Amino acid sequence: MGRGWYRDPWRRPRVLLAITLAYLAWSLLPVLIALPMFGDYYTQDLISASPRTNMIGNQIDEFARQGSQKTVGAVLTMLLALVLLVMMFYYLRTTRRADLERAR
Amino acid sequence: MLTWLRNPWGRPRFLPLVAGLYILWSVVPVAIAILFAFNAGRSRTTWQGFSFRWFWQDPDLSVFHDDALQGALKHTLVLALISVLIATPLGVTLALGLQRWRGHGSGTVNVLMLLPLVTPEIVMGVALLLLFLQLFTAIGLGTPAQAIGQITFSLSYVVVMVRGRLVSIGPEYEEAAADLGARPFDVLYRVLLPLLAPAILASAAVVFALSIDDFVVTQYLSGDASTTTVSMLLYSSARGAPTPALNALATISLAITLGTLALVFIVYRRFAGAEGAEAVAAGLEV
Repeated sequence: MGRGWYRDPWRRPRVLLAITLAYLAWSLLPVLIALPMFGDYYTQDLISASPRTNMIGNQIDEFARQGSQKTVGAVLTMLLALVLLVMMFYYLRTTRRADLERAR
Repeated sequence: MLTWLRNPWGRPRFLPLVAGLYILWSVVPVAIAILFAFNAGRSRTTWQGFSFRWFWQDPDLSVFHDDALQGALKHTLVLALISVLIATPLGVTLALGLQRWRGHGSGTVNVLMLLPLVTPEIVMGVALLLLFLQLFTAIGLGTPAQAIGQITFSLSYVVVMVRGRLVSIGPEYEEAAADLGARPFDVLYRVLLPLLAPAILASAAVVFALSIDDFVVTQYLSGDASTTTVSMLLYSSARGAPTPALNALATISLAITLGTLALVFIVYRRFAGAEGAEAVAAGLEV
């Protein structure tokens, strides 16, 4: 590895590229996995159904669809959407930066 | 690990094992559910012999004779048909428009287009529910609302798939047609649409599969018992005392979905070659 760099210092930095990609995957995967998972309520309901394992999706489902307090459900949905929006912009920014890096 | 260090470019052995285990892990539950659709007894956990009792032989409880199950199946198919017939043309035109639009605001629209792919369905479900309850009260909940909801999120998939094809076609053919004197409508109808046909077909199949598969939005926008779909029925009766007829129902809807996708895959391969078939396969993973 080191000897190759010695011979041709101006070739594409492959190790650096690998580290960058690994870091990118590491930082983006949680977002990609979390984004759709935040809305889940049916898995919890089917497999556990215990109040102890309630997720935000269950609360939203209870308030907005089943219950009469639709406003509470709406507020919870909006808060969830805001959090997800922040995560999405983080994702978009990181990927765009990576694209620019690669284009350089 | 040690062998990998000695020869990092050797055939991977550990990776196929992990992939195989994962596939096994995700397929086995489905296979068991399908198996018990053919159970001769009432149980969904102990095997009592093979029969088609829960498909059509049982005079009251089979899918073919139980009105609730049959109604759900019909409603699912009707919704899927409506979604395909509206979302596909709408998505194709939208893809064409977005591909050409190079002005202020096109970036925002592009992001908005991808938003439904990553937002959890519950967010869209609640939003649409409140919309139909408060604002569009004339439409109300029920089949039209369910169709609109399904079209709303499946549109993104159509746009993404058709735009992918548009990029790979490139502008040359259209320019050549226009050069040779074709009017804009002729360019669209006689050059672009035939070239896009494989992508349109594939996205129609994906919309169909998405619609049959959908649970959250469909449940949120359902009005009464007559707008129950297969997925809703499976969900709501999981807690009660379900018979293998539900497994039979799930097996039928799975067979319809897989059959449609397989059919499209075959047609696609015939007309668009292996490269196109891969695009359909990529769509299958959606």
